[in-house]
Amino acid sequence: MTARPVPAESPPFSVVLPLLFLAPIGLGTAGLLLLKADSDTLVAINAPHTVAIVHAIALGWASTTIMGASYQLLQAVLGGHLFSYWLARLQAAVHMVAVPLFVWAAYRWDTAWMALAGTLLATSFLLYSILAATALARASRRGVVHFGMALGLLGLFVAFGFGLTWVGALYHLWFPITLGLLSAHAHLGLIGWLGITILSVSEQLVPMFSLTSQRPSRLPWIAIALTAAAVSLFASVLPFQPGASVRVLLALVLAAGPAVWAFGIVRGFRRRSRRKLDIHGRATMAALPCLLAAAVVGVGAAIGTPFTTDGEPARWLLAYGALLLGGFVGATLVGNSLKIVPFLIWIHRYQRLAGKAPVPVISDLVNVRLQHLALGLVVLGSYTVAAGSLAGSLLFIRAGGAIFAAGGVSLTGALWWSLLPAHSTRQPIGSRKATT
Amino acid sequence: MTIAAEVANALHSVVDPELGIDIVELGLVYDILAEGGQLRVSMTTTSDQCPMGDIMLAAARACLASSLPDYDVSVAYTLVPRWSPAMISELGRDMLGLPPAA
Repeated sequence: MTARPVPAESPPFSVVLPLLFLAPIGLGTAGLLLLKADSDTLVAINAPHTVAIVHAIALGWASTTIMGASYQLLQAVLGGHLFSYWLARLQAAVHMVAVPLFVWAAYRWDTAWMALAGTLLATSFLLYSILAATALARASRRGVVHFGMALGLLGLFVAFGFGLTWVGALYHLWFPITLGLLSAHAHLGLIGWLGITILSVSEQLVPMFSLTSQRPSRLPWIAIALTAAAVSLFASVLPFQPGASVRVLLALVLAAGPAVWAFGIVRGFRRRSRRKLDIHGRATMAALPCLLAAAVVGVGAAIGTPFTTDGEPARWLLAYGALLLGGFVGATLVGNSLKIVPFLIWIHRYQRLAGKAPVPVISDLVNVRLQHLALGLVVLGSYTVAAGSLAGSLLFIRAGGAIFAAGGVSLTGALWWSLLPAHSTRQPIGSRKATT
Repeated sequence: MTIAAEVANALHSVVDPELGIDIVELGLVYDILAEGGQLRVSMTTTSDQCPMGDIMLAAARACLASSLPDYDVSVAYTLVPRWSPAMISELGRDMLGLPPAA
């Protein structure tokens, strides 16, 4: 069999790392904004500071991380070259301006500035979509990751189209933004874009980092296709304000794809050769219970009454969002970022020396305690916000915010740590063997 | 020391940076063939989509070229047979937390 290894063709440092390094600011910002949660938080899911918090995490942290990681993955793993590094840098720069502006405008509920920031975001997403779509079209290695990333890109496009239209409707008063319309946008963004991209990328990263021999399986394809179909159905029906029974049915259908995915991941994970879990393995294991909890709370939110008839109808939706966005998406992104960044730094610094001189291994570039602290804080923060929301406790929600903010600082520290000079250069075990 | 042992000894210094285990202990080095001044080595990766594949091949080439300068070294990539955890040495298994092979 003629075979070629995956060529070492990472995009330049300056394309990928700024996005990955700056993304946790979104998490920290969301945490700080949660400290200012007030009674409106529990009453309306579209309260200005809730909209600001959700977008700080979804656009500021999650989307930024995924964009940086995608540029790396598309080129280095799928073999789809980015046609312009200059355009990718421009996209990152526009995104870095657009997100804080949007979060600030949403917090102040200044629709004019929201529209301006939305236009900048549209530019960022358009540039990203062009780069990612052309890279996907050129990809030499196709499979479930390619399929999922293409669907995720479509999800981003539709979610953003909804979002920009809603901002326009707020400003020009075209039509009222109902809870159904808001939910459709939120689910397209959370599940159609972030969720599907994460599910598909995990199909590559989890077996690779846990050293699991992959057997051909249809499960990942089924999981991703089912999730995409379900979120499309969900977003199509929800704007028409269906009754509780339809909402619950939709919630169960929506949970089916991720459940199939989780089953496949756990099944593969049980066969892993890397029995000692690293940060990625721990993050995957931490993310799965968050996904399960989000599914349960999501069904509760879909039921509506009797859970939402106490004058604080946003409680279950907030808890659902905290578990899905902060917990599942958050834990997964922590694991992915903390593997990808040191890996890129290793390639940048040591690739050319490998085989010629002793070089540090990737574990020499990281601070394991700081990594685990970041993961622990993100997961604890999401559970605390979720518990506070379900219990109607602003104190807990604010405490969760403080934990998220600390998580953002820890994650930033853990990522930047990798830039420090390597702390030790181990002797390879074979060398020890050879000298004895 | 045979040429195979010399090659294996040299390749112990090529370490998978992600796992911290060298490519010999991971069972990634398959065939070692020396004929005249030619040295042919075939190796694989833990997954056909391993992003370190090219880097590990280049590292193995560089390592052998400097350790065995009398040979014209070529390192080929193969997926036959597919790598499996059963190929990891006892030392590697211990580092990964795997129980000893039966």
